[in-house]
Amino acid sequence: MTYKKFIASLAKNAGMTTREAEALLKNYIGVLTADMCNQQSFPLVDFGYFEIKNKAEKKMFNPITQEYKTIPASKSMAFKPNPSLKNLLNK
Amino acid sequence: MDKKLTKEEVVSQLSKAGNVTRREASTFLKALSETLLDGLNEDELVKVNGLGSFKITNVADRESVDVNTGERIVIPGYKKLSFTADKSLNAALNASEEERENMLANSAVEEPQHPVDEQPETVAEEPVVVAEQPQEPVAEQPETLAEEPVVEEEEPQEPVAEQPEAEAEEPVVVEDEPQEPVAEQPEAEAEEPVVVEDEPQEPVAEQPETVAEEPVVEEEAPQESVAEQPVVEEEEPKKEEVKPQTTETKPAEKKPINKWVWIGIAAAVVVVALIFLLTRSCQKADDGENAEAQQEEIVAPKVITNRQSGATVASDKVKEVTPQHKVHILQKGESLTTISVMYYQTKDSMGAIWRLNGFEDPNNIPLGTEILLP
Repeated sequence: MTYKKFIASLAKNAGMTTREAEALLKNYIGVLTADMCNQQSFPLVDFGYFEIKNKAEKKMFNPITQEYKTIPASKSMAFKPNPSLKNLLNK
Repeated sequence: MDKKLTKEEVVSQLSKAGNVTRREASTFLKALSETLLDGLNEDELVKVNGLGSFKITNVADRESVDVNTGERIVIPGYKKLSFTADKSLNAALNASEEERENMLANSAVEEPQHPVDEQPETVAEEPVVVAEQPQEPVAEQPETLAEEPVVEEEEPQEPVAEQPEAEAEEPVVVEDEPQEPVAEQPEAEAEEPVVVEDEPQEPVAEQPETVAEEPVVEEEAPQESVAEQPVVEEEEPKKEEVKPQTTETKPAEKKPINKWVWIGIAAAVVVVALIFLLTRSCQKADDGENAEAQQEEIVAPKVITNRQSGATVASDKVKEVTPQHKVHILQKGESLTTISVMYYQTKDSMGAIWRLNGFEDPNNIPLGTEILLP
């Protein structure tokens, strides 16, 4: 399902225009980003939670140049499903 | 994770950020979940710009052993939701606090303008960029402006220029063009399309040559034709017609054509020049000595031989489809071996087919290739 279709059916389900739906979705994503940056896990409706995964710093060895390289620690987004989601998907 | 947000908190935050009532915000969230589920059920993939993509992955059945009983059991497969975050989200997570504030500020600027229209959005985003980097957008716009008119200028030229060519060529050449590679044609016909194609590619080098040839031919042609030969008369006026056309085509056509075709054409042009020289010399030699009838007989065969040699030179690289060879069009699943068996009932002819067609890799021939059969 592409973004266009998604917005269209989202607007239909919510009973608003496409533009309103898109604007609200952007707000939703903005709120989500802000909360995630504040170390809070954010619920994706009934499906589960978005969480931040901390990836520790690690050392890599490049066999060609024979060099060790440090890859800095980073954060990435992860999705942790609710147990009920499995039931929703496997009807 | 310090804290898990509840739905209610999300609703209140969303209603604040979007300037909507809490009810609208909660209906939106419900709609979001419904839409996601629908989309996932429909084609197992939902892409949301700015958020990421949701995908259903199938976990296959697997065998395991029941720890208590020691029996083999099958754990049934199921569907799993996998989520890949949008790059912008991960970037925001890893950004420093200042950068993050900038991002949030930008998104905040964008937000109130969304419901208005899509076009104002883009307009609104630009000034943000302008504030940060005043130089770039200013520099880019004139470039694009400068490029566009150039394109516009070129486009009208080509069609305008090509149409007259096509019109000019049609009366004389139309029949000849497809026949080019066949090689057994009267001189003028065979050469016409060749010359036309020539000049776009080598506008500097070959144009002077042909131009140089033209006046000579034109001067001599009327003399000879008046004096002697009906055959030559017929051919030469054609050439005169063709060459003015080619001069028209020079500036206009700039189509890329295969190297080989081009080389062949160059050879053909040289041969044309030779033929004229030969015919002239023959005619001059014969003028004083022989009767008209004899001249015709002598000149005609010479011209023919020249044509043939020229044609073969021109089509060196292009494989001639002589009537002796059958042509087989390669279908899916066929190999040179199967074709050999099909036509000759033996695999041994495969090598001959290979050699005749000159394939580099007999195991990898594109479908639909015309294969000559020895």
